Formats: sequence, structure tokens, C-alpha cells
Amino acid sequence: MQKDKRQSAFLLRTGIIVAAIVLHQIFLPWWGLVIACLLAGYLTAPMGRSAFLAAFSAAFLTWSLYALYLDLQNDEILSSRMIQLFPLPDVPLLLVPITGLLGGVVGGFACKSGDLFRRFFWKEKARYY
Amino acid sequence: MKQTSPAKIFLFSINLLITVVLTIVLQQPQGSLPPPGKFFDPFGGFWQNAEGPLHFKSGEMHIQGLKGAVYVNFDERMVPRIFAENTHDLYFMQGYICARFRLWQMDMQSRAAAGRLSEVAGEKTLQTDQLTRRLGLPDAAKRSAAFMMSDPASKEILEAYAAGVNARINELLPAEYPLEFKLLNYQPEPWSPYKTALLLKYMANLLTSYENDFENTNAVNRFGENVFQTLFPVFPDTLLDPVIPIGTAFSKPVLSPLAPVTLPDSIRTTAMYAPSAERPEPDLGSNNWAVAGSRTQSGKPILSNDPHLPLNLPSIWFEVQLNSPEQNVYGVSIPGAPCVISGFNDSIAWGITNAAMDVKDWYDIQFRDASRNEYLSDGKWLKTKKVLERIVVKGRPPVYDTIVYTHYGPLTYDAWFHHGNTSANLALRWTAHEPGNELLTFHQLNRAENYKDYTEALSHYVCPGQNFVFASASGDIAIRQQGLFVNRYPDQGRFILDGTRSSTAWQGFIPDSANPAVLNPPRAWVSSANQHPTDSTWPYHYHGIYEYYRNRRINSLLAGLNKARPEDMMQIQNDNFNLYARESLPMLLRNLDIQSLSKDDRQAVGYLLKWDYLNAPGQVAPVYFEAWWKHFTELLWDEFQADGEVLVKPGTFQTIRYLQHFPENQFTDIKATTEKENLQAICRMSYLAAIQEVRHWQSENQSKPLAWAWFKNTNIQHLTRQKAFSVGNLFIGGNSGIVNACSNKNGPSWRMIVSPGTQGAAYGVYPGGQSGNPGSRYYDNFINTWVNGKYFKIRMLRKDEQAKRILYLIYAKG
Repeated sequence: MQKDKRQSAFLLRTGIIVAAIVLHQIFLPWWGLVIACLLAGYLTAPMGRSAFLAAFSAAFLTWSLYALYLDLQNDEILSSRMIQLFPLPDVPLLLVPITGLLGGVVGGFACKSGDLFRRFFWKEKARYY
Repeated sequence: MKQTSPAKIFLFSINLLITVVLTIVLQQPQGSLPPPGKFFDPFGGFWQNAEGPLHFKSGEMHIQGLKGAVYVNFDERMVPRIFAENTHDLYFMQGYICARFRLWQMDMQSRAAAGRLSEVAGEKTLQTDQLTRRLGLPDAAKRSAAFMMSDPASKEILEAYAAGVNARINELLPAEYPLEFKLLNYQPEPWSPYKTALLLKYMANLLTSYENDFENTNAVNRFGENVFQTLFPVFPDTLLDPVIPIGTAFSKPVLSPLAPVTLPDSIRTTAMYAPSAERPEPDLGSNNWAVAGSRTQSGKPILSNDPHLPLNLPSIWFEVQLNSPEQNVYGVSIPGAPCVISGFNDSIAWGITNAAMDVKDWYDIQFRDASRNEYLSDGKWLKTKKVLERIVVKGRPPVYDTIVYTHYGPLTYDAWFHHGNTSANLALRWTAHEPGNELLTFHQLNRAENYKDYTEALSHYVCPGQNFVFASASGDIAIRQQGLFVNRYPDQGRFILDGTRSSTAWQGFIPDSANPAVLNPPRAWVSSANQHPTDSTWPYHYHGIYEYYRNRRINSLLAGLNKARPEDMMQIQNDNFNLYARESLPMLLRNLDIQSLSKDDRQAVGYLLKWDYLNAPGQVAPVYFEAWWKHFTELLWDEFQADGEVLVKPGTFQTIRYLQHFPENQFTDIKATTEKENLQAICRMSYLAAIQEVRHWQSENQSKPLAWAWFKNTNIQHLTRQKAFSVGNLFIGGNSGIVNACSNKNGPSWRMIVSPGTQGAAYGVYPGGQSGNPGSRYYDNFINTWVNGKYFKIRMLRKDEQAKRILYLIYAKG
């Protein structure tokens, strides 16, 4: 039971972060992602200690899925050219997880920072009772 | 807060630090790559340039600046058909639409002409920028823009076009910037008539650099006057076949320039000029011709044009139809400039090839002292004008360069720039510095109805000189070499000129009415392929770097035409017959001792003996011939390779003529060896070297069969030279000097065949696509058709079809 609860909390948290990222990125340059994750980390801190993983997943999914959509609707015309700019195997689809990873890592650390900041203000229940 | 443990603070700080550092790193350019965060972000980075089916939307839009309503109907190939109610809106929309497809290219090419590449590309383009400014290109563009703006008609066009481009720039979000802006990490800047003038100067620079003044000076010093004039004759002794048919009568000259009493021989003997200037490739050129109705099946003239230029992506051309109550024209335009440059309307068609007449001279300047404030002229000291140029360089402090102006023009080469081993200061005199209204020429050609309109339109045209071919629905055909050309004394400007004597200065220009022209000649066709405009009976002196093969091949094919159809013209434009091979290979083979070759080495001879002289893409023989000829001329003219000195080898035509006259001569000996080589020896040596080269190529390209196309390797380079955005490995024949002038990097940049006034008989293709976006399916979708020698049928859209959507339809209002 406990595990299920934690899982759904994690999913909910990830969903909230995805929404925050999309919202910020509509109005801000790419670093809107960082701000969104910082804020979301702060606000969703009570949802558990999974801040990094939740934001990593959220940012990874947002960036890679959007990139994947753009890639597929373009029939990989652009990605098959772009891949040649990098010292990578000639597999255009590789650019999708790379995109996700870039967003995921920076988003994860940003979210964790927001989360930890929130925790400064918390009283540790156990000590006072 | 009091309870916060140091461990917690540490953990938080570490996380925040990593976040901040990562953000900063992702916001910084990484080597030659743009900031990764910005670049990979799918909301704003390169992914946004992955064009999908939703990219183009039909519909109504409001664009501030339009006076009336405009329809833009895009056809299946994404060619915009612009229907406007007035001239202003027509050119406004041409600017708007062109910017929509080619904004980065427009920015980059105008930047190149302004000497401002380093702002975005960094130090590696600094020398190019310096040279551009020292050639006086931005300065000339400024004066040219002012000149064009002084004419009400061209002012309206230029301003409307710029406003249209700016309307597009202003509606762009950073996420929508063309890919290359993101890659090079900079933003578009506003367009202006000056930038259009810059683009026209960019073309002028590309097309008028056909002079070898430094090389000629060195050659005459090295080999003497006699040898030089034999190897580089102003007119060949035979096989001339000029643009204006031999026998055409010319009127007497209005004035003849006086040669200096004593020619400045000193200039030819004192210095070894060695500027390591970048030169445009010698194999640029173009073909055009028009055949009269008496030789065509339809009874109407047929006109063909294929300008040969560097093969680039985005393509140098943008196809468009421009319709307003005053005009209805179709053809290709230059992104960044209004009007159609090569095309047709309901009454006429016209096309262009480069004139290749020398209009660029160098003067050796003597300064009074190191301050360079005064220079010598006829014993008097004249004042210079100095302009300090500030070149912004990405990633380092700006570079300052002082350009000294003389009455000839700017000092291009001096101790501070491409100095070589001479103390010479060289100033440039160039017709590209003369203000001209080339735009008005094209504007008037776009709406011309007959021969008279065509001549009137050409009268504004200054530089770069072009052969304008013409055909009208009413049956006229004509050709005219138009431009501002120097009225020279014999040999004036073939060598570096003495700038201290006013007698060497340009004394005037050839009057416009005397430019070589012919209307409806008896042979019933006109043609040009960068050959001599006239024979020596034209009463003016001129020289240039001319073609001797494409012109003769084209004329021989046209002479055989009867009841010609557009398909016959297509065949000519794609003709791979190698005339210089036919005139040189028998001589090479005759002088090759085949018996002395090993069985393996003899194989190539077998191919060559059976060869039909076609540089067809799948053939083996042209591989051996071209390699052999290259090595042969290198050995023959090894005297023309010298350290610290620029020299140019005699051309293919002169080489063949020279060997016919002098099979035994001083040049067959190879200087680097102690033995005395003759023609037979270098034929054999170059043959073996060619075979070696071909074997080496085969070992490096084992996946490919030995074939001319693969060996030649025609590729179409992206303007940034990024391989990722270029298209290579094209299975196409031809070469420079062949009608299908497709070499490694240059080739027919637009092929057009049109019979004016004949509904349906228009064809065109260019090696690229309408979109400049490498992420678009319209980026390179014409290339296969072009490679295969096929054409797209062009149908002029009628006014009543403006609102019938083909692919996309934009209806725009102010």
C-alpha cells in the first residue's frame, strides 16, 4: 500500500513539474526550465524525497518527447543532417535522448535545490514530541 | 532555521552550485558549437526548424505596411505567385516572402559584401573582411544605394522591398529564427536599401574578377614580351567565334584613347608582385542563346539560359512570379534584391551570361613618406583620403584597418596587407566603384514588351557586365554585351600600371551605344558563352579571360537545328561533349609511346582510343583524359610554378594552339630534372602520373565503380561549408569548358528554356530548393531533377487564378 502511495505521489509530482516546465518555456528562453524546476522543487517538497528523479523524469520526458514529435512530423529530415555535426554514430534518433538528458540533468539539480531549500524551514517533528 | 544542520546547508549548496554551473555551461558556446541549452531546447532551439506539414498554413493575415490586398499562391514546388494591386505591394511582398524562405542567406551574403563576416564567424574570416573593405565594396555599395535612391522608381522598389523584409523580421520570435542564426548564435538585423546594394556588389565582385594583372606582370618579367604575347594573345589566331557574329559591321569610335608616349616598362621589370589574394574560380561562366522562329517548330523564338555559378545551398536563386496591373513576370531572383534577374513575361524573355571583359586595374602608387598623406602624380604631390575601418571580431577585440584612398580608388595591397615580397602599394580602379542603377534595368526588363523596351532597360546597367540575350513573342531575337567598359589603349591594364603618371589613367568609357549588340542576325540565332564579344574589327581595345569551347560547341549544335523544340534546347544545355579533349587527346596519344608501356599501364589507352569524347557521368575514359591533361599541363607549364610569385598557366586553348605551332619548345623541359625532356617525355610521364592518381583514387573509393561522376565529385556546398547541410556525390557529367559546365564546385545554377508568348512552353530547374532551411523538404528537392537533366514545366498563373489555392494560399492585407 505504502509503495503504491509513494508511486502515485511520484507520478503526480512529475506531472506537476512537466506542467511547470511547459508553462515557463512558453514565455521564457530555455532556462525557463531551470526556474520551473527550482520553483516546482520548492512547492512540491512535501511530496517526498524524490525531487531529483521526479524533475529529471519530467524534464527528460518534456524535452525528449517534444523533440521526438518534432522529429517525426519532419520525417527526420533535420535530425539526419544535425547528427553529422556531432562526433556520434549516424543515427538521427540519438539526438532525442541527448536532448532529454540535457534538460533532465539540469532540471533534476534545479528541482533538488528548490526541494532542499524548502526543507530549511521545516521543524523536524520527531525531536519536539 | 536554527535547527538547520551544516550537512543540510552543504547538500543544498552543492545542488545549487551544480545547477548554476550547469546553467552557465549550457548557456555558453562550446567550441564551434552554440550554447547547448539554447540549441537543444526543443521549445526554442534547432528542433523548432524541423518543418512539418503544419509549418505552412493557408489563410488570411495582416501585415502592416501593405497598401492593398495581396494574394500569394504557392505552387507544388513552393514557388510563390505574388498578385498585388500596386507596385509597392508587389515588391513589399517579394521582400516579405523571400525573407520567409531565405533570411539567413540574405543576411550572410550582404554581410560578406560589407566585410562583416567576422562579427559572427570570428577570426577565421578576418582577412576576407579586410580584403572586402580594401576592395572598397561597402563604400561602393553606399554610393550605389544613394544613386539608386535618387531615382523615384528604384527608390520606391528598394524601400518597399526592405519594408517587406523587415515586416518578416519583426514578426519572428527567436524560436523561429532560421537554423543558421541559432548555429552561429546571432540575431537577424533590419534590412535596408543599402543591404540590397551590398548584394548587387557581392555579385559584381564575383563576376568581374577576371583579370590577371599581377600574374601577367610576373609572366612578362619572367618570359619576356614575345613569349608572353604568344602564350596569352589578346585574340586567338583562329577559331574565335565571338558573341557578335564575324562580319557584323560596327560604327566608328567616338574617341580613341591615347597611349602614353613611352610605355611604363619600368613597372614591368622592377617588382615581383605576389599578393596571395583569393581569386574566384576560373571555371565560372554561363551559356545563353535565342533561336529565331524560322528555325523552331512553333514558329516562335526559343530562348535558353544557364548561368554557371558556385553551387551552393541555399541556392543563389529564388524562383518567383510577380504580378501587378503593370506587369506579369516569372523567373529567378537573387535573395535580398527585388525583381526577376533571369526570366520571362507575357511578351519577352531574357537571360544573362558574364561578359568577362577586364574592368579592374591596379596602379602602383608612390607615397611621399611613411605617413602616406601624399602620393606622386606627374611630378606633383596629391593628397590621399584615409578611412579608419573598425572590424568587429567575435571572441576578440575589434581590429582597426586604415584604408588609403587615391583618385584611382582604395589602396588594396600594401605593407600591411598581403604584402608578398614587394614594397609596392597597389590602388584599385574598378567599374564596380562607379554608381549604377542595375536594379532599374531588371525592373524595366520585368515589364518590357519589345526590343525597344529592352534596349532602354539595359541603358542603366553598369556592372557586372553581362551578355543580355533577348527574344520576343513578336519574333525578335537579340543579344547585347552591356555594362560600363573602359575605353583602353592597346594592352592598357593587362599589367600593373604606373600610378605616378596620369597618362596611364583611364581616359573614358566606351559609349553605351557602341556596346556590342546584334538584332535578328541572318543566321537566325544569337548566343553567348563567355567568349570574346567581338572580333578585332570592333573599334575598341579590350581584353579579358575568355571561353573557347562552349561557344563553338553551342554554335555548331544550333547551326544544325531545324524545327527546333524546347526538348532540343534541353539536350544542348545538358550536352557533355568534350571539345577540348577532341582537340588535344589525339596529340597526346600521338606522342605517347604505347609499346613501351606495361600491359597494365596500357589499359587506359584502350579506353581513350574507344572514347566518343562524351564526359558522361558513367564513363571511364574522361577520368583518364582529365587526369592526364591535368598532369600534362602541370609538367608542361612547370615554369609557371614559382615560390613567392603568382603566375597563371596559359589556358587550355592557348596550350593546344601553342603545341600545334611549336611542338618543340623551351617549356617541355622540366626544370627540376637534369635531363632535357621533350614533348614525348612529358606525355609519357604525365600519362603514368595520371594512371597512378586514378589507381590511388580507386584504392580510396573501393565502394564506387570507376566513373567520371564519382571521380569529379560534384557537390553542392552549404554557405557555411558544413558538410551536414551540403549535398555531395552527384551522378552528373560535364566539366568546365563543356556546355554542361558542371565541375567539382561550380555549375549551371539555373537552367531555363522559354518560348515567349507561347502558352505552356517554359521550363526551368535549379540545383537546390525554394527553402533555405536544411530542416525543410523544400531545401534540396530540385537537385535530383537537375542532376538527371530534367526540367520542371512552368506555367504562368493567370490573374483570375490568384485565389485558387494550389499548395498554400496567403491572403494579406495592411
